[in-house]
Amino acid sequence: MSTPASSLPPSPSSARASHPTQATHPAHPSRPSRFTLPVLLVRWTLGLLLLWAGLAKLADPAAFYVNLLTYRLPLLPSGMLRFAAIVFPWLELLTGAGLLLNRWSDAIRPLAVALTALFVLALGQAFLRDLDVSCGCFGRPLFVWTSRPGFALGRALLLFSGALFLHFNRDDLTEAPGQKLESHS
Amino acid sequence: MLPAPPIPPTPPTPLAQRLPPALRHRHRRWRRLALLLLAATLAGLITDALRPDRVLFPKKTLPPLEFVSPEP
Repeated sequence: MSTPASSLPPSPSSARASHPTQATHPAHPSRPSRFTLPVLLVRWTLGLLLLWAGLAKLADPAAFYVNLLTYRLPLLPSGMLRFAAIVFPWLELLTGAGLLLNRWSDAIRPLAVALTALFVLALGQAFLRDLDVSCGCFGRPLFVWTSRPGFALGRALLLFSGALFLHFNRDDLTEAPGQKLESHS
Repeated sequence: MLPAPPIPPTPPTPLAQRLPPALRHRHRRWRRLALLLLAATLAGLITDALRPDRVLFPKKTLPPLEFVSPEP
């Protein structure tokens, strides 16, 4: 004898499908997440900024390489900086696209944390050493003061905190640990 | 009493399915991270190789030719 579908208790996935805007905590599906809208806003902002930064660097990787040289990063040979100058923009592009599309979030969000932490480290050492560098984060800046290390460091810290916030707060579309959602893979 | 029939051997399952869920998730995360890094590296190498002003292996420019006037 088959049980009618209407008499069955709604599963978390069906509840999610019927209310796509209502988020649940990934580890506790019955508990609604408090940070749905902030997570969405931070995810989109960070994704758009990373996408913009990646495209701007891809447009002129030679200028990005020259910018990297002015940071005078210790213990990094020129060849490694050249390699970073061609791979970094693509990493930013992939991370930004992944955040915007909310795909592979278990890998994309730690990658966003790592990328923004690298920004903070590079800009922090330039700020502490009082180096006269142009940030080069978003290609050619509209205003010169936006590429000063102090301003860029503040912006990088904001991005880093946003990435950490995303990493530790997951919205309804994120796969929970141990929970397999094939439709998102 | 008859002996129990032998249990047929089960086919081996992939490593990802044998792991507990938490480890499986971590396994998938590392695989995806490695794929992302590989994709970024390949894309970077290919686009840089196609550019006229390469960054990784810059083209060596020849010194400008010196014009030598023919001897009369």
